[in-house]
Amino acid sequence: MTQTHRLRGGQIDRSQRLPFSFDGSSYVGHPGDTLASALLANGVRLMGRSFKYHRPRGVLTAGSEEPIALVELRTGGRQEPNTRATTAELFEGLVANSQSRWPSLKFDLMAINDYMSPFLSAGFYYKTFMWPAVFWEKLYEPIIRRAAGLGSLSMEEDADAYDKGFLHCDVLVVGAGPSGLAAALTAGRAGKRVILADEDYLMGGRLNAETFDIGSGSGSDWAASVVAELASMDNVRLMTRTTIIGSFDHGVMAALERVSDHLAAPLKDKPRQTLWRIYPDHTILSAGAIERPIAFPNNDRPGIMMAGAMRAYANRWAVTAGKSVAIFTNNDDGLRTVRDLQAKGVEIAAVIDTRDGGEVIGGTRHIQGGQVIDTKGRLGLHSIAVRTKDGDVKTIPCDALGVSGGWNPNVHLTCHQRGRPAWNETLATFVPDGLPTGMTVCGAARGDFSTHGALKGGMLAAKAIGAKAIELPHAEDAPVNITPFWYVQGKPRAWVDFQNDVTVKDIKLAHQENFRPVEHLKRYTTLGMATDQGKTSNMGGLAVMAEMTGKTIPETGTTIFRPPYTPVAIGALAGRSRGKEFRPYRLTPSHQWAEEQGAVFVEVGTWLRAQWYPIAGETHWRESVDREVLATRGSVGVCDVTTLGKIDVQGTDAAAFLNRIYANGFAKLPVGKVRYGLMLREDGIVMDDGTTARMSEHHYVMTTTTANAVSVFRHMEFARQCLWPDMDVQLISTTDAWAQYAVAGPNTRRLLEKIVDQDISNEAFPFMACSEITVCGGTRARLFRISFSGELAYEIAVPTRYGDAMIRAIMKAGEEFDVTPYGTEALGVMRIEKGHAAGNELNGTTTALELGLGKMVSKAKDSIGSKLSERDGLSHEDGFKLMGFKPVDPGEAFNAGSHFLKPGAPETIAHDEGYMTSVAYSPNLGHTVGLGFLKDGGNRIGEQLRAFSPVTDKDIMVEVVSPHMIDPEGERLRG
Amino acid sequence: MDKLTLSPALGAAAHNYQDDGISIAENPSLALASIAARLGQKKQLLGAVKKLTGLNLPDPQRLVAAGDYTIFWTGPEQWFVTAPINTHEDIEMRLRSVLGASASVTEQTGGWTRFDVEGDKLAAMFERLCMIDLATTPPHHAIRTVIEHIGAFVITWEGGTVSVLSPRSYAGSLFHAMTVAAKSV
Repeated sequence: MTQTHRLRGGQIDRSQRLPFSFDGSSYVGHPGDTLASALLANGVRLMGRSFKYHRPRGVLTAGSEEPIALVELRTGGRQEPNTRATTAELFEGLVANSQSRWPSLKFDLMAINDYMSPFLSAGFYYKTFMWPAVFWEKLYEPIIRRAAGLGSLSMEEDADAYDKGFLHCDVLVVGAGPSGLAAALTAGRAGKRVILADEDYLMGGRLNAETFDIGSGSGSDWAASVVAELASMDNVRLMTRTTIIGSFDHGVMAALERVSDHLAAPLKDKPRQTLWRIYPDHTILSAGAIERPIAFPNNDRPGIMMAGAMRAYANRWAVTAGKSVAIFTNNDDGLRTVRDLQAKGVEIAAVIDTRDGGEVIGGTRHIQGGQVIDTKGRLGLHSIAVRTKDGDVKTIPCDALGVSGGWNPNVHLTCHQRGRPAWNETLATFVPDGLPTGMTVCGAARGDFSTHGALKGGMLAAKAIGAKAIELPHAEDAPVNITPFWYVQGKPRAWVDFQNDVTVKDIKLAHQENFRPVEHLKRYTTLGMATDQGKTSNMGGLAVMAEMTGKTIPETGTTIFRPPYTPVAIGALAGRSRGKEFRPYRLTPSHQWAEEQGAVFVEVGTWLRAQWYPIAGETHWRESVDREVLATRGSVGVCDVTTLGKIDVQGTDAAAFLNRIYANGFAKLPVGKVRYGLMLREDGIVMDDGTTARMSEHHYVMTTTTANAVSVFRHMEFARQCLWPDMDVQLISTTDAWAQYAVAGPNTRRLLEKIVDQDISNEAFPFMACSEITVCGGTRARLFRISFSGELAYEIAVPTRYGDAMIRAIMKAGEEFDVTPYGTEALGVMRIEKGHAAGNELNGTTTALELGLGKMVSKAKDSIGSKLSERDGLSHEDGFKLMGFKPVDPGEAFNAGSHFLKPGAPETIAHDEGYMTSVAYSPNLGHTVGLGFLKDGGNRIGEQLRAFSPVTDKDIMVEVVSPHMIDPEGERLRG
Repeated sequence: MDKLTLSPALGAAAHNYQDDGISIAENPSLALASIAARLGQKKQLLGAVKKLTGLNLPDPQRLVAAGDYTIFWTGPEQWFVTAPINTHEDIEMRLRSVLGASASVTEQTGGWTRFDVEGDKLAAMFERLCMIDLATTPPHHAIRTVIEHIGAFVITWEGGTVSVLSPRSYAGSLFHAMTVAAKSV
């Protein structure tokens, strides 16, 4: 197919031909084209089907306000639904498909909805599909969603990457039309740091769509010269293809830069789009205006579009929307389209002006005081019916109709902080009012519709923030001449919102059913919803409602707008935070060594910890874990415990401070000793536990659980800074500064004696001792005689830079003892066997009493949470107690999360006796072991209960045992 | 046993990245310790630091450097002190002995990883990493910020070089984020 509708001139590069396809048909366009302009050039008017009635639709606008020419662009992982054909830049090989149709665009079976329209009025499904209620979710909604819907997803992973970023400037100029260019030029020449952003790929705004001159040349040439001057300034950043999508607190603005959308695929390592957060001192909003339609019967046929868009297609893209064009207007601006099309040699079928009087354009059939009362043409306009002021009805053949109902300032960004635009009677439109911090508005966005007004407004906006005035070129200064006219009375449906298929009739129904406030009107009819957010429809809907209620438009109200200004891909909001890069990872000092051993890693918070270390021949994780547990309890094992939080506590009041933080006493802990500490929240619930070592008189090293390292530090900083600022105590995290390894098992001391330079015998270094030591002939280290596994154990810490060397030294020294590295699974097995609580038990609902640690909450002093832990509900002796559990039949295994029931009791909450928190297979005992909370557990040892899981229906008989299932007297760890 | 050897944050060798417009180099040559003024002892601390280093303790977001020592602000009445590791691996003990009861000193050498970044793409790269306005940040600033969820200090030097310090365990993810941003420019 040839470009049958291409005109002369325009800002396209005819030297290059860009083949593309739409709905499987091949076409050719040129660089500079959008998909919409290229389709129009090829004589394609039918571009989609409407949302609800599946009416054939063309293109309405030439910009980002487009409500109906929405396509699925690209294929596979790059397919994007609801892409506006008006903003999609043409590139070689572009593939687009229409949406909301089946089986084809020209023959859409869902168009039956159009014939059923009397039954499908606003709110129809809420009224119709009420019964039976359960059918809504299972039947009605899926059917309705399939029938309606706006495009589809490929269900493939997005093939592209997205960036996020931060920009700073003195002044952000939003929109590079005449006012924006004047503002940027004024500010730029004054040395201000300027960002000029425009959603278009070509700066100049309407100057590229109009024919009038600025100074001695064309408007587009002036725009190009200003852009060239701005580009030469180091203090100015020009951002094309960049939409300012939102205005946020403190004047922060969000921008979406479409870095690669004009290419078939992004260049290597480059993002598709970048979401910028811009911090400007000032924002000058020069976002222009959006032309509004007039509602008239059957005003939605392909070929009917905004008169200003028609002019833009002709002047900028050298495309005519039709061979014989009619114009329907209520203002002088609509007449500009007539003149421009005439100048391009396009046949003008008629000019229908709702106003009676004013200029008559020569060489045309100019009908003043007329109205378009109907249209014909199933897949594209072929005639209109016009009623003259005398009441005669004439049929006028034409294949395109340009409509102008006036222009609405683009006030969106002024509303994002709940600014409410004010009605301007002269301009018959809303203008900005109540601006966000640091924002000024100029040009058409504030109602200055002439080019001169735009240039002057832009310059003055920059001057107001300290720039020196510049000399402006001469430009047209035509006044706005409009007689408001919103809709044509008539029986056939007249569309107000093209995207959501909302008609004048729907608004009448909303009025009739008393959904009259604009916010109700919007929600009842869906006016202004979905991807275009009512850019072309809100004003019309409001005006129709005003007329029905007999109120003025400002009395009726106005809707305001929310971010984003145009749709944003979810990928852009996510940026790089997706998949494996969703969040950063923390690696332990032994990570590389563990990788060399083939360790399997698990995420623990942001840490990656070795979960187990499989060796040759092991095919199941349990084999590895059982081996690691048996080897540790049989000889010696080593585990990287660097991830536990370490907090350095210093100061002359450090002891007193810890005494208040911990529920148990710390003031009398001798230097060189470690103590297990229990920390309560303000409300008496256990917050965290760990060991704290007194390294010197005023220096402690606290450890926390891995998961709570940050929250405990924050809690302590709050206490230090806010609760007790008069205490001399200083805190800093040293989690990353020390590589720490737990070495456990009966041969631990023999192993460590080969590494540690000092005497670590039981006499010299008893259970719960700590000391600064040296290892391997002089490297500074710390040694703690503590045990989580219940074995003879030490934790040895070296400055992290020696961490890799330390694990290798331990493994080498331990060769003669068959030292075995163990991961978090084996760690878990051993602590469950020993009855030590961990995160599963410190779950934010449990008390010290329940954990069997009630006596640790000292009554001899005050500490955070101690008083509230005495509350009635938290201090029942017959309440939950942490107990051990084993299966009655050793061959059976139970699961964590099971609830305890007495044999024969119903499986209800009322008969719940408690729940299992941790479960592991104990290779030492030869059966599954569990820890859990059981009512009055301390008095129920030996009792048999059901461990029942209502999730899996697993029902196992268990026996209550002591939680200390291995070495209950603690002889091993003191040995 | 053999003596233990030092290792950088990410494996056996320091991590580096280089392209036409940027170079990122892990710098493992620093000894680092934190100092925090004891209650009511700031004046004594100032004097002691001045005596040792010739430097005044800097204000928030600022850095001072002279001779072997560099000091930057990290929090209320808290600073990091750095010096070359080959001559000051014992930085904590040195500071402790000089500062006495005026400050709490904590060793941080292995706790942080430093990457030095320079090149023409520096500003564009950092626009994609953090909210610091490098174009208007003079040299000798040390600004606490967040890069891809990672807490970090961004330090500006004379000549336009920038250093980024993050907790050592995050070094891999930080290095990845920086190289991705460098390639993205």
